[in-house]
Amino acid sequence: MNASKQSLAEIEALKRKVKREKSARHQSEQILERKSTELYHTNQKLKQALAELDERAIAKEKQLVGELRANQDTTRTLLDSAQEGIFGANSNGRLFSFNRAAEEMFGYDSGDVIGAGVSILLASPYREQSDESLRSFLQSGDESFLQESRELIAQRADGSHFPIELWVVNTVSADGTIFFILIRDLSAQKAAEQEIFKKEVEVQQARDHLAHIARVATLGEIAAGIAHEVNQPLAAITTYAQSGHRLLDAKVREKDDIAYVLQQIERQASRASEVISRLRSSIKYGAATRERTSIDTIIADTLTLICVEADRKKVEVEYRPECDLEPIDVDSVQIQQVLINLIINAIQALEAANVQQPRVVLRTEPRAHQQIYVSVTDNGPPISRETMDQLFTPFFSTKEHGLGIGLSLCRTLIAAHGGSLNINRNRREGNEFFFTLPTINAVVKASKKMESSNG
Amino acid sequence: MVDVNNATVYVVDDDEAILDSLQLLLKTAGLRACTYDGPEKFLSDYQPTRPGCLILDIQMPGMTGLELQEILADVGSILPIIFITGHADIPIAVQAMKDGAFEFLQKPFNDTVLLDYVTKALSLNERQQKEITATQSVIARIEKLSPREKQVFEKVAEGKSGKVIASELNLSPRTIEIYRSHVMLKMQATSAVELANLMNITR
Repeated sequence: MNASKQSLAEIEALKRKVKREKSARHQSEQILERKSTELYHTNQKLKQALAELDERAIAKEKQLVGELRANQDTTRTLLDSAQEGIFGANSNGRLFSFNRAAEEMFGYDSGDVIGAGVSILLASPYREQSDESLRSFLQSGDESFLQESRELIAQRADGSHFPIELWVVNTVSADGTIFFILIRDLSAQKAAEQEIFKKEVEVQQARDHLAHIARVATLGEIAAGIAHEVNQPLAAITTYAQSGHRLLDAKVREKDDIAYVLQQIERQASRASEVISRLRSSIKYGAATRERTSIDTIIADTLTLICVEADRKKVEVEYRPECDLEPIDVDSVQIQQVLINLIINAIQALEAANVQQPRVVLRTEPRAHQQIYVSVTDNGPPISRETMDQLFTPFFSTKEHGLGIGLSLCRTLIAAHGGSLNINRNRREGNEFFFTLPTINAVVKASKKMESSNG
Repeated sequence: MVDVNNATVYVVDDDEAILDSLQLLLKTAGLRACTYDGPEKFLSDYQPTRPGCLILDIQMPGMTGLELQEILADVGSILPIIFITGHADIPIAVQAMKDGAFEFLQKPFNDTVLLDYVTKALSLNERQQKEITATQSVIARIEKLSPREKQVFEKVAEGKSGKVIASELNLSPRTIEIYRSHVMLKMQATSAVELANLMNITR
């Protein structure tokens, strides 16, 4: 029995141990369960937190993408709305953007040219130079590549050429230096310039032509005098030659007489040809040519042309020169033409008014600011104020057959020489027309002034 | 024929070469020429009685040829004027001819034509000179007649008979006959017809 009792006790002990262990395990299980639940909750929380984070990140990303896209659209719109052709190129000269204006100018779709080299947009020889200048800029960083706009010839998709003005702007991005190239189509401007140039040429031609007409008209008025001047030596030559024939026919020949006749014929022939060459130089039709001369020379030449006409009309033409006048750079023929116009006008006015002792006086004087002053004064009846106001109006004339070109053209010619022509309005007696011309020193000074203001 | 030894061709032109060549031409034609480079110089040398003709330029500074023509006409000159001009100025030519110019030539002129005109002008001048001389001598003769002889001369020249004259002057036909013979003698006439001619010259 003891044994059994012992066994029972042991069993009891075992039972209690099991019970204890069971309780402990249960306790552990409970703890585990509790812990597990906690863990689950934590996990849930974490999951939730992560989900929230994710959501925020996506939203942020969405916002950024949206903003970027909006930015790109704005840029695109901006670029496309520009009048200038604008395209971007990377440091290898490959195009990465091409705006609408550029598409229109060049006839390319942007898709066609993106990735291609800038050089395809240029005509030879710029095409060949473009890569080289890009390279040299990248190597040297020479800023002049960027500073100035330049004019080049571009080539369209269809191979045709057109003039452009081009600026290059550079910026540094993550991919290295990139360039934006701005282009303005100069076709219209060039065409307009061409048109203006053509018009200017036409105007100049018209003016030359008008000058020619007026010169011929003026010369027509003194043609009778010129004809007389040529005819005199011709008449003498004829008579000498006829006398020569008679001398040859004469029974007694005098050798000296024949020699004399021949010598005289020669002399008169050269006299006639001098008149002709003087006349020819006066009617020479062509663009203005400037040469250095003195107003004295011009007046002297003018007076030889005018003297016969003056004699014919019995008008005394007198020149009162001022010594030591500075030389001038002018078209002598044009200045002569102005003088002839003024003198012929005076002679005709004196004749029309039937003035006693008609007289025309030419004067020259130095004036301030390196100008010389030339005046033509007559002693005819003063021109009325109303007429004075219209004197220089083209096609105004008081003469029955006047063209009304003379004075307005004279004024244009003098103005073209940097001078001015006018009538003296303060005279009580007679009429004084005068003009000024800059001397060579005035011309030099003016050009120096321009140089210094430019520099 | 023209008495070329006595006559002078005057040339007035402002152009020295024209003067010189004309002088030579006239010389080769055996004519005596005298040249002046202006009308004023010609006038200071001018003597009305000298026979000749005038070659005159129109366009000259100072006095023109036409003005010289007018002055010569005013002093009763009979010098025939051949105008020479460089201008084919018809109104001036017409005016010159109206004012009694002998001829009008345009420069340059043909020597034969000019010399022909000169010869004709010289003979005209000679003829006119002779007529003037004749008239002057008739006038001188008339002036030597007494008043009564002058009356008889006029009536005889008018073709009146001795009887008619006698009754008009209340003289006898016999007295008229004496006066008539005196008139014939003094007037160097031989008939009434000649007397009539002499009378015409003075008119």
